[in-house]
Amino acid sequence: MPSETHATETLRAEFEATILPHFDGAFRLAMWLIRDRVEAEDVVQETFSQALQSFHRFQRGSNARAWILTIMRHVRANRNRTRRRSPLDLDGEDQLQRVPAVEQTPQHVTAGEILEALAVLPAGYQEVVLLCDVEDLSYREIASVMDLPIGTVMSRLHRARRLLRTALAEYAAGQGIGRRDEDAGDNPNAQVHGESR
Amino acid sequence: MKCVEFRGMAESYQAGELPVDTNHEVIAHLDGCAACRGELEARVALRLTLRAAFEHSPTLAPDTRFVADVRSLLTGRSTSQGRFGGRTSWLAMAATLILVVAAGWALGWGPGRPLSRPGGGSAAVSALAAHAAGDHRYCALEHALDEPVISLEEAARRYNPAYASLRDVVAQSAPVREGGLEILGAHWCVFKGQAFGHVIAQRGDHVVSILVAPTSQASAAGSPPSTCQSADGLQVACFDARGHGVFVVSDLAEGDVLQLARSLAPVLQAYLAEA
Ligand SMILES: [Zn+2]
Ligand SMILES: [Zn+2]
Repeated sequence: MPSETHATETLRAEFEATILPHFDGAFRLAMWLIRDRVEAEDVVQETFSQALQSFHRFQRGSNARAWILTIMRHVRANRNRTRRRSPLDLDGEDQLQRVPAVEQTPQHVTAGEILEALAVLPAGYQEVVLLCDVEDLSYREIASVMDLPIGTVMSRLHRARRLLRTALAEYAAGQGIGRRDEDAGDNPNAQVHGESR
Repeated sequence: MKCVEFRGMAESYQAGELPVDTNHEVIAHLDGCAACRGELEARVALRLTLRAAFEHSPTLAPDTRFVADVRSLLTGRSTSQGRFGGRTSWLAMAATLILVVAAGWALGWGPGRPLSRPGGGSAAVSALAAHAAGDHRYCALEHALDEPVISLEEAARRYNPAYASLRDVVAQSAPVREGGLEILGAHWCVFKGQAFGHVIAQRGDHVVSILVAPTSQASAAGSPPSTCQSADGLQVACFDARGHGVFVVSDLAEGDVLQLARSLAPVLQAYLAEA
């Protein structure tokens, strides 16, 4: 039936326009959180295939990025369950109790430094920070993607920032962030975190 | 509101999730507290740096082969058919941007070395000269800054009221009034974690950046402009204004940049002393 084909084509075109632009972002997030390229590719491919199949359920006008990231989190959780890997949220609460309060946010932090600092946070905290800062989701959207109460999202963000400030301050004390001004060719993208290919 | 209270809610303020009346209290506090304005700006800069780092990290990028495979799987078409060249452009654009940024770093752009000769700004202000040159290069010339820029009005409302009239003040300066300098645009942007109020202008064929950054260590009285960096074909003249460093960056001759800074200094120093 031509009308049905037309409808499918329209849906596909809409999918390409609204969902596919988030492919690169979703992959980067998967790559960061999973730290294994092959697994990240499998997760992302499965995520976008599922998204295409359930695209008719996507609420027009809502945040497409939040939608795709929610699907991706389900895909990751399912794969971890069937492979009996550890659950997604390694809280590391105990590690956080000992963090001294650094109230001043350091300036002139380079790309490499911020990614290094982020990498030492517990996984669940890294994810909250990335969904907020990189994916630009609201607290409510983060809560929905991660299936957490909104209060937990806020307290995690608060603690994650404190951890980041502390890590960056330690970094500055040990290696001298201010010194970076001299490194003219300093590549911000070099070695962002444990190479995992 | 006390500073410690602000620090406790800075996160929610940035996210725009505070109730209206609390939001007003925060804005009132920021109006009168340079330290908290600085902290807020540092936080915003840190977030933008993280986003840029993440979006441009080659380690995190998908393989082009993988992208093409999944695309053809999802669209039911081979990408080589070129039937929707327009639609693949987001990928091409992202790839180009990454290349531009990566190439920039490979070529050693970014902050040059500060001159050893004494500059017009205080030491704290001169230390920002390299960032100012980098911002001019990436933002004004290459349009390749990692982050979308924010309007001066928005930046004034959220981080530092001094940005509000920056463009107008430059517009009232002698070089603009006399026709020797034409304003092209103005905004707030971040280069390598340093935030600037940025007015982009043109003199002849040369692009000129006027950059303003808050620094608590700038001398209160202000200082006369002088050349504080000369590297990679860019001259940076800088001077102190109350609570801020001001930078004039261009590939014009050193004397011309300095002259421009001298003619801009009176209005900018007067304005920032009030702001
Ligand atoms: Zn304060
Ligand atoms: Zn700019």
